[in-house]
Amino acid sequence: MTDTQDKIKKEISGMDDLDLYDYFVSKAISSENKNIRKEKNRIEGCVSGLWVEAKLINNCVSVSTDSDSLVIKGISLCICDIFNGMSLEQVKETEIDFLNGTDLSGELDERRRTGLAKIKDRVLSLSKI
Amino acid sequence: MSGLFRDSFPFFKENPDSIYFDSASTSQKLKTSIDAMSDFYSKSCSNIGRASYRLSNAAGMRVEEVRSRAAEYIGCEASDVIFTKSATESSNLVCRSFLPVVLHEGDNVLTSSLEHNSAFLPLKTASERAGAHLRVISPGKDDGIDPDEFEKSIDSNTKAAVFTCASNVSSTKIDYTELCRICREKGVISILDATQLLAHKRINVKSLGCDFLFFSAHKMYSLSGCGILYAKREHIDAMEPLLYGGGIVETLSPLSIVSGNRKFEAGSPDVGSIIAFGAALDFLFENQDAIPETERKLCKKLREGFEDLKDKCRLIGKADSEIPVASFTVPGISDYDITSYLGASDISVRSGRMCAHTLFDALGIDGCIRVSLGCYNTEEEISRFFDCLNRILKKFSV
Repeated sequence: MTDTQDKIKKEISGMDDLDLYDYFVSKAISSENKNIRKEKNRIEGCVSGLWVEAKLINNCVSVSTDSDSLVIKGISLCICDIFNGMSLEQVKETEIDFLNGTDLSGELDERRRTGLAKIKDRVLSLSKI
Repeated sequence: MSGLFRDSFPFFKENPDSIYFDSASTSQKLKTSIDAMSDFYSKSCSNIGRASYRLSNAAGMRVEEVRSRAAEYIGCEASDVIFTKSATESSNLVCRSFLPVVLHEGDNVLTSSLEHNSAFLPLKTASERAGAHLRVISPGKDDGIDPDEFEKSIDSNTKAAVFTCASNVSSTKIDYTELCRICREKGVISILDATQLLAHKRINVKSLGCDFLFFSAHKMYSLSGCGILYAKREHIDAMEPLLYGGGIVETLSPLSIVSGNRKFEAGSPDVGSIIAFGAALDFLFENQDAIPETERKLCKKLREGFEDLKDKCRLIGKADSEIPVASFTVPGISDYDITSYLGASDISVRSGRMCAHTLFDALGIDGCIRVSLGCYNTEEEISRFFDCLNRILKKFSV
């Protein structure tokens, strides 16, 4: 299940920050609008307005996302692609690190990094249901 | 890139192609300020006001020289100037130490929705503690402070008003002279936030007749750690210190503290930052005509650029501000996305609410993108900015 993250890493390997922004914005623009902008789906603390809807279907994670920012939406869609289809245990063991070592790793401010990190928390909260 | 003042700022030698358009957040630092601090700590380091050896006396005299220079810059006596750590601390000092003296239950205080959180929140907290009402004037049609609205909001129970001399968001000129006149006429204590203004223009607090005024060094081409509060003498005498500690005690039992402005300067001051600010004041004095002249040209170029984009970008304010700031939104496009792309082209601008949440709540928008210039910026940089912005808008099909 790390294949998806490896695939993303390969796709963005060698890209500078401009290319990375284009990559994530294109991903966001071409994504389906899932109408998940409800208050219960809002991720608190993310300045860009981030919504995440997570479900378990046959014990597999199904997570959708939306954001006011196309850059953040693109990044969070990648995170969702990584988690989709995993079990909760696999999500727990998966570290999201596809931005590490890229030009964007220092560009995202702390609040947005924190907001994106909460996607995993939102998925893992399904275990409490 | 050339510019009249650029060589005075080491940042631009280290980052020759970087465009820094966030001076409203913090300005780049003069070499003379950096050197002044560095020299002090490496050659003359001492505390002040405690010992009586040569080094300490010399440091103390340098701090007092800066106090006098700061006083001269705003047209008051040195004894009216209080050193704090920041404009935020200055604002809190007024609201925590002075307002409780004059504000009582049933009274009201006035402010505008343009205020920075560092001016708004201390006032809000002080009014709540006193059981007083906080009146907040909405932005005028031009996203500024309407003096008529300001005057109408004052009644016999209005004790104080806090307002900015220049907004850190809206590019509408604030008629602080008129607001001060209204306060004097109505017997309302005036508390001015000059933090954004003084790097660009000198003012005279005696002519204004204001009761308090605060600002900070780090937005005036100097280092963090030095704030200033101007207070009328009679208010200084009426106020209790915010901080108690070393340096303000005359006798301990019974407790007797020093009088005047020094009673607000307990603890060891940031001597290096104060001395550094002295160097910045020298720069501002030397260039008090050249800086506004340079910035007038920059403001003109900025205004022209946004005029060309008026169908795509919504400017906050009517672009007649005394300071070179322009904040805008692009409907349908996230501020963060635009600043991200600008950042990738090494153009540093800020996005978000600029610590001016009240304004954005009043305008009904989540945030904006802000371009804020300093004397070191150039018309060439502004051209590059608009070239980049146009490319970004095209990318997002705006």
